[in-house]
Amino acid sequence: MLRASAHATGQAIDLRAITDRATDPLIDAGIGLLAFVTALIGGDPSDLDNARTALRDAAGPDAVVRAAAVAGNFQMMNRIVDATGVPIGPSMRAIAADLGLEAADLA
Amino acid sequence: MHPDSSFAVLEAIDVVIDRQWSTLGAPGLWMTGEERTEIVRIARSRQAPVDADDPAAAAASLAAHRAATITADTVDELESRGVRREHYVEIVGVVSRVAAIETFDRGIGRPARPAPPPLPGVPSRHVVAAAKRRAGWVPTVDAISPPTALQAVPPEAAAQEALHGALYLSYPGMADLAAVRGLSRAQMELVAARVSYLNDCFF
Repeated sequence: MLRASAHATGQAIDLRAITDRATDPLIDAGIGLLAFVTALIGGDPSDLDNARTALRDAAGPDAVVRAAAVAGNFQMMNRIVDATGVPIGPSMRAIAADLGLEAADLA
Repeated sequence: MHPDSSFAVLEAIDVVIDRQWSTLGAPGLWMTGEERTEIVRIARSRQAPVDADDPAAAAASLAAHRAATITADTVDELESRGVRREHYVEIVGVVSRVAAIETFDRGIGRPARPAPPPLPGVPSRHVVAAAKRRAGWVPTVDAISPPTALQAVPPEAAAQEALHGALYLSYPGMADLAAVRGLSRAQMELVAARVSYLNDCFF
């Protein structure tokens, strides 16, 4: 969906940023969004405070609320998919190489 | 509320999550209110048991904290210990919604919510006759996919859809790849992809 949405709006995207923090995703406020999400999902509370402030300063308070909301949604969806055995389709396997993932990593 | 958060955006989300949180302790199809609040407690606990004697507690702990390690054999074993698949689906629904709401609250700088109270009543034990095992590990009415995975417990499927719509996009709205909702669609998908990566989930 990330690649498709970027293509739909003519936005450049570097998918490697999902797995490699040293890579710039090339999306507006992308580095701040990745730092916020990384701190939010199991990070140190002080890191989260700093990341939240940085994202708010870079993209505004609505971006913080929306990023937290989307992260919450995918915390839910990840658990549902993994716990119920939803199969991974061919299209998702096809982008594994873009993310640096091995086929064996895919359930 | 975080002092810098947009009130209008928050209000629309809070209408949904406040209602869902307050009813997590209501009887479901397969669990009493007390049983569901125990599932909520396990989902919120950092020291949740992994090999609990109670198979429902074990299922909750796995789904909440180590979902990526669950396999078909895991669900088979839980069933052999007395957790029928619909019961398991309800557990997955509850713990996944707890994860969503707590992540959102923590993200905007909100303190943890009080535990939802157990509400009286008995589980209906309603079986969805059209739900069958298909490609996944739980019965569904339609082919299993992220939106259909909880169909064997319709109230959980409905709650999942409502929360999905409030926090991200409605199921029909997902077709709009140029959607802007506080974040651009590409920004939303960047967040989604990073969360999934950190959870070892390829979704």
